[in-house]
Amino acid sequence: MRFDDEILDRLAPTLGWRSDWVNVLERAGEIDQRRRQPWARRRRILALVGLTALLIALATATEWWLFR
Amino acid sequence: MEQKAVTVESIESIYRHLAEDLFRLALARSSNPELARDAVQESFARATRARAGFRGSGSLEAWISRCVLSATQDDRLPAVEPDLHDGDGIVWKAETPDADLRAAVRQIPALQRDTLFLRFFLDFDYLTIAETLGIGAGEVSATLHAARRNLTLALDEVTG
Repeated sequence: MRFDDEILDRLAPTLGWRSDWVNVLERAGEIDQRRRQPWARRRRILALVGLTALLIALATATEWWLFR
Repeated sequence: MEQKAVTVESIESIYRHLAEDLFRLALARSSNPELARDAVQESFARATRARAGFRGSGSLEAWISRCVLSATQDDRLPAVEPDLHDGDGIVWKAETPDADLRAAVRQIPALQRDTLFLRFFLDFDYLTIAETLGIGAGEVSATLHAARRNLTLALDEVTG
């Protein structure tokens, strides 16, 4: 058998490959992170709004100097 | 010079144009389609996870290719070579006339084989091959030449 580079094709047919980028992201843990991130940001904003409302209510009830 | 950050999108772009060629490289090394597919997927996942730590001392393509080569090292390969299925049936039998070719490829030194595969399957230039294999760019040409010569000899030997 004579060798030239082209016979290397026989070692690896292109058939059999299926591109699956989502699978790569799942393996890397990226998909879960991307799903979690917006919720984490929303939770932080909600917590900040809740804390602000609580402080205002507390300050008003105790007639804190800012609200006199 | 400041290195450009590696993003998921930049890795995806490499996946889109290089993954199939990397699959062929992994398949040529392993003769195992499932292992080859897994090696490619896992290498890109690894690159995605570790992208923040990429220092840019070489190309991203070379870095990912190194992962694929590492995942298909000879000592990690199973002894049995399964058939390749394509949904409807077997498209590539493990026991083919190319067993001679695969036997000959395994006879040449690993560095020569990998240099030849990177050149043929990925069409890498000499610099990227050197980065991938951790050798000097000046060695690539001589290694390729030696690979072709030794593979010719090995083929003569296995085919009688």
